[in-house]
Amino acid sequence: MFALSLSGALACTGTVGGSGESEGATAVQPTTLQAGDDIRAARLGHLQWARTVQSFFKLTDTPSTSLRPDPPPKEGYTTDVHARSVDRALVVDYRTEADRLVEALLADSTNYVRFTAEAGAGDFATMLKRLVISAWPRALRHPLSDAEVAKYVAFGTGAPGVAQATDDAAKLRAALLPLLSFTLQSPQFVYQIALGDEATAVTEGSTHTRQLTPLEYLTRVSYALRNAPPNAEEFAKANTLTSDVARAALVDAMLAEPGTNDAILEFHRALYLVDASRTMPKDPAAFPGMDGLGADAATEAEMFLNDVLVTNNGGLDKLLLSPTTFVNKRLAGVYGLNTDGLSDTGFAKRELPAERAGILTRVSWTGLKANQVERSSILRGVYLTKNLLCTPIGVNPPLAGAVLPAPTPGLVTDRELTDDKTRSPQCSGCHHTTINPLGFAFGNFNAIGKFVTLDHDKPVLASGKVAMDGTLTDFGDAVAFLKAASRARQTHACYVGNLSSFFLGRTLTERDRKSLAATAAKSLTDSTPTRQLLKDIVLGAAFRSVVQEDVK
Amino acid sequence: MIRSGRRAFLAGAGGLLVALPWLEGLSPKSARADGVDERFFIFMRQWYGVQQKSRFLGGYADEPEGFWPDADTRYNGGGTKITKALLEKVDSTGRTRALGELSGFADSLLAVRGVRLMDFQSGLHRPLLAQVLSGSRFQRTRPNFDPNDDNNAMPSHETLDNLIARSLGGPAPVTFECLYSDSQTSFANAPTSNGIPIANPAMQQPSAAYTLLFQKALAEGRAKEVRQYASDAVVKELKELRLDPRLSAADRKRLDAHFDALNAVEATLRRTPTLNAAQQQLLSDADMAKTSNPALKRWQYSTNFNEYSETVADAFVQIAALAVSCGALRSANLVMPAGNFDHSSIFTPGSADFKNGYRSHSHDISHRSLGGQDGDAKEEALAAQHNIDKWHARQFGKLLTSLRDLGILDKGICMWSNEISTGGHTAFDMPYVIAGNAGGKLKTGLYLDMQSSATEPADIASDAANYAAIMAKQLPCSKLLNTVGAALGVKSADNSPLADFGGLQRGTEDKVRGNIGSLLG
Repeated sequence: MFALSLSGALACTGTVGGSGESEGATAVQPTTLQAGDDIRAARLGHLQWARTVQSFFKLTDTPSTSLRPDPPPKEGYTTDVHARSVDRALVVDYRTEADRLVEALLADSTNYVRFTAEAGAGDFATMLKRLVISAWPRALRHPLSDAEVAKYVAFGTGAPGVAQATDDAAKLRAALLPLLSFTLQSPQFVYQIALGDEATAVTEGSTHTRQLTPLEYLTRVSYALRNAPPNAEEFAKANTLTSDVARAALVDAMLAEPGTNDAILEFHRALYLVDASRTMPKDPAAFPGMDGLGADAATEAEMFLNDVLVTNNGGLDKLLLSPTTFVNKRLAGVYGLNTDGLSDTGFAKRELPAERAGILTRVSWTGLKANQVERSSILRGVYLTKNLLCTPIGVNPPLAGAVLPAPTPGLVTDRELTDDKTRSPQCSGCHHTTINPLGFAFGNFNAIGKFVTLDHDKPVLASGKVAMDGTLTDFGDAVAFLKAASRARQTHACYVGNLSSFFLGRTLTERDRKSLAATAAKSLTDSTPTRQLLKDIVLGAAFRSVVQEDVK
Repeated sequence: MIRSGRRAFLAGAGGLLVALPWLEGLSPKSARADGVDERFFIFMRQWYGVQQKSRFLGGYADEPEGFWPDADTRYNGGGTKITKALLEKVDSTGRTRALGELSGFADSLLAVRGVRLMDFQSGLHRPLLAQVLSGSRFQRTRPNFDPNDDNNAMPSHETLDNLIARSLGGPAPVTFECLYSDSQTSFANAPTSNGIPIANPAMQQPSAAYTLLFQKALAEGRAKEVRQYASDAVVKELKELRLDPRLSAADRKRLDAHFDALNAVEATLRRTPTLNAAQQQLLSDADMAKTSNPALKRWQYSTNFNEYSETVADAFVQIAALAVSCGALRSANLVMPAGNFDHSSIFTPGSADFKNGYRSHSHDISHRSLGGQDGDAKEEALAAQHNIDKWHARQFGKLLTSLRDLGILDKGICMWSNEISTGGHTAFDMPYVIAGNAGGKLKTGLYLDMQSSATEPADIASDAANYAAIMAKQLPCSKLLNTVGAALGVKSADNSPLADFGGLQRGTEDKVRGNIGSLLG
């Protein structure tokens, strides 16, 4: 997962592999788009592809597909269109799935009749033309020009088997077999193409910006929020999306749909590593009876996210500070809650003790950011640095292990060992100022996320200080840190940046960051619900335009 | 046969017409579904030895050379360029050499003489057979065999075809057995500690093999023509989109990648082997379902009815090429017929034997007999063996032709050999004939003699001297097998080009390592 900073982040000191004496130097610049990296033809995600088939074929359910999953991006989210390529394997998969779905449509009389109803009656050529005019805009997400209609009709008319078919209905079936298969594999279907309206083009320096056409905007919003194409009613009104008011009304309507929750929850599951926590192996000798802890913890986290974001329409404050949770018997035991009336499988709503606040003090995150026996302050600190505060840090120096100093004898606690291990100049610049203190704040949570006060029989020391909004901030423990972080502009900027990146499907540019500053401020000052932040993002300049950075 | 445009049909088992499989779509999730990797290995085995001049004791030293190209010997791996003229040269005996039948593939051939098996004095056929593709000594662990039976022999470990399939990705190799079963050609490593390798699948009936190998594709039942029609349109549309100047450099880069991927898959589709009329007839002819009399199962081994041997062999050649070309198999083995060679390709039409319908088993011929005692019909059998060798060379040529027509001859490697080198149960100067350069990784167009120096009189003064000389002067076959594997990209345990396959010799646990580095491109 990548991280970014909107503004105001204080980088850890020291350069990667350098002397560590360059006070205030930034280890690496935040990930940013390079010239020419902007995307105007974004390949659909597999769910988006399947839902577009559903829309095109007028199916009642989203068809299941077996398109090969995209490899997880090295940085960023799975929605990042830069990571969505079409390789040979996917070419074959598209073909196989297209053929399978088309054959299924042709074999299912109910679905076939529903789909071809738009063809009406008449001779084969007339029926085909009517169907193309009526149905293909759903596939291509735009009304067809006369030339496009002619192209598809000609393709269907010339299809193998049409000439040999003995009646019009048979000819239509023969035509649709390759025509539908071609359509589902065609770049117009596979890619979401948004080129912008040249009439709105503005060139500033080497940057050339075009506003999306209303139809392009409608399509982008729909895919982003629903993972599905716009519906027929929205297509019909697309040309009205020329004002802020009209666009806001559209986004409000979509955000009110239950389906939009899926995308919001998907982002948060990715941000807080919920899916990864589902498999969280722990040493059975050290933690007997914890075989299914990861699955329990992931379920708890999902229910918590749903409670905060969907049921209570909350935002970042609640995510970081809410004590509400959902536990089964095992989790209640870990949390020190009363287990009366709880079972292994049912989850009940509870309030957590004061030592916990928000998603980052739950078993799902604290347990994931640990090894099988011991907590890991470095894993925790790196995550918080990159994904909670978006403080730029570098990567491990090459052969990080080679620069580790000899262990100091007699150290036993995680805090002692971690600081000792990272005391070399190559490491301490980031570790001792940022990563380690952040990780130590969560030192009371052991490898399974249980609250403890001792580490190898010595008291856990969770206090520390870390730079937020350019100021060193003291904290006594995890909850104190999270409260401070929830009041930091940097934290909200980080969150809004990640949210924006997920829904934009790309890394952010400096221009993007500037345009999101007001939204980040709103998150901080008004405890604005995530849903409202998302609305601001999709109504914002970055979402509504395409930017060409490489204009000479 | 029905052939309409790009659509072709196969007369399958039971005589039903089935649409030609969409082979590219055989298995979308298979190792080669993305069309990236076209490497393959096909081994063709001829039963018994060939007619060649023996350079050591045990063979037929007094016979003229009839197999290897007629070129001056250059020992120790010294190479002679193979040319069409060399292969077609008529030697002093008035014959062309057996390899002359492959003159159309001069540039693709690598004929390697001077190679011995690892335990070349192990006597009967099976012990020697166990070494040809394993590159190691045999072991007497053949299930259900008497421990003292001379033909109780198994490889020490997997065979090269299996290693290639395992290393490069692919299903277990299949052995196509023409008019014979239990050829014991291909083995996987022992799954248990008993050390007994497991025989890989073998198939004897061409049409059944075809159906089994391409079952999934046959089940798809989708006409290639329709898919090609749609696919062509996708290519065209993507081509047009890439030209849109409003796209960004990043867009174009990704669309280019998509376009390249699409073209690669299309290329796979275009080379998807389709059976022409002759091929379809071939399978039909070789199909037992065409025969009403169960006793006349043409594809089965029979001492009396072998007039279909070439038909069955031809059918399997086509199926093997088809299977590796579309990724259904990574490795395949073709075991040529062992039986009576009584047809006109062996005996000259009009000769006494031909007129009399003389039916001699190829094993007898290899022992220079026509059914009596060893050597009792030496001259006649010698000529017959030479013709048998040429017949096998032509079969190998048919395989190479099929692969060339499919555009993959130089993507992989074909190897022809026998389990013995002459009728005398010798296992030096093994007839290893290779074709294909594995994508330029193997040097071809060469005739090599790997024997380190000429055979001297002292080398054959006694059996002991003979053994020592062969051991010292001839190349252990494991090194040649390692060379083939290395050219195909198989790695040793240390991730270097394959050099640690096989190598077990008689009476020692010290393994012969290495390959012929000079042949690797």
